[in-house]
Amino acid sequence: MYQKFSGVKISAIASCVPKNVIENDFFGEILSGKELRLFEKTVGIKERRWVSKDVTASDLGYKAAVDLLENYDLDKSEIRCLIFLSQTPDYKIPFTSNILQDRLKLNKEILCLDINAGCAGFIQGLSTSFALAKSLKKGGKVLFIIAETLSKILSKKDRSTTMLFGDGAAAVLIENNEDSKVESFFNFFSDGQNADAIEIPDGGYRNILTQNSFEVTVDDKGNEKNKLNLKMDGPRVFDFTLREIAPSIELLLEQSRIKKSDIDFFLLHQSNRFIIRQIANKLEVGSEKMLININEFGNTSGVSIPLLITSNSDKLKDHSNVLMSGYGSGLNWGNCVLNLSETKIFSLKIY
Amino acid sequence: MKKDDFISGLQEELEIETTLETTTNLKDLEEWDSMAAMLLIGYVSNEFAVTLNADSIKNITTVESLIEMIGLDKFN
Repeated sequence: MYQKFSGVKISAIASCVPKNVIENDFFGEILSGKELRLFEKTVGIKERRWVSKDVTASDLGYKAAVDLLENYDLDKSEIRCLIFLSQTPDYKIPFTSNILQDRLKLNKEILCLDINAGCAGFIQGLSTSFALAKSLKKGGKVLFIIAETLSKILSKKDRSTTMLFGDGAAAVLIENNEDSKVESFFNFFSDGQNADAIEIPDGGYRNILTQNSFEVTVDDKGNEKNKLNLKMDGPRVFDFTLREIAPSIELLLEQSRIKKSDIDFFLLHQSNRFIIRQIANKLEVGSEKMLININEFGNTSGVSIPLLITSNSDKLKDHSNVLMSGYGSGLNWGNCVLNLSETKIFSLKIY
Repeated sequence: MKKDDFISGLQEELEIETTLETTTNLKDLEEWDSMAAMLLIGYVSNEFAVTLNADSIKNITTVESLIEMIGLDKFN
């Protein structure tokens, strides 16, 4: 699917990560020193942040949203829609967005919506927010909160997942503004045939939760996990990203008639530094244009792109034509070209 | 590229402690894992502009089989 928007902009963006830093030596029990070094060299992660037991994704999202609402001059009643996007919501029922609507003291005349989406979630959530904002009156706003605590669903004895993921959140304010000069372009792809490449097998209504869901199994590489832990077919996901992402980015540039050389920065989902560099090579994009912060935060699912924005606010201030690309569970992938020249970027907060 | 240079480069890149021969089965090495596979893909891609995918990685056995996969014409 291809979309083009005008008269809608991202007014502000704020973000938040938990205070607990988990360094790579934490995984000394499941990886040798040499393996950890090679992990750093290839995947590029040095540390990530994990919430403590009593902190949820919505708590991180709340902090980011409060930061945005306190520092951006707006009338809260102009927020007509609140979207909460996460794979680790507070409850199965009700929406976490409803809980946040109350916590943030937003108007009751509002559309609250939860979206369950993974690493492509930032692009998917932005597209949804832009479409909603476009349908509002001038000045109407959508508050899009994206938050993830994958640390809660990882098996700490599964080398194929546990070192990779980190927690974080971002709050993004999208606004209908006819005076805005910025145009935005999106494209999306899905491949349900590989739906099981990244999954939590039990706990939904296809495989309901039973005693058996907690049974720990060991795979041929010695990884231990139960059926409520995140499971990832690494090689399949790896192949998918190397095969699909670069051509889909080229296609968006072609569809939107934007020259690659006019893009100031490329913000790719921070899943694996090796993959990001391979995609950069395919696109013939120099490393100075490819922003990377996976070393600090690991893979924070859909939150990785907003974290990349807030940790590079200085660079983006004067060079605001960006291309963003998200890809992951589903399998889903999507890209967008945005201009952030009218976007207020707040510095990263620690919770 | 000379086969010998390729093999010593491979040994260095993957930080393999034993001496690699054309007959060495890469999958039998203690060092072989998903990170080694990434290093291998990166090395081959940088040196030959050939992208190995997960299927080709699965099919690799010996160093010679890897060389054949890259293409014998690329070696002298």
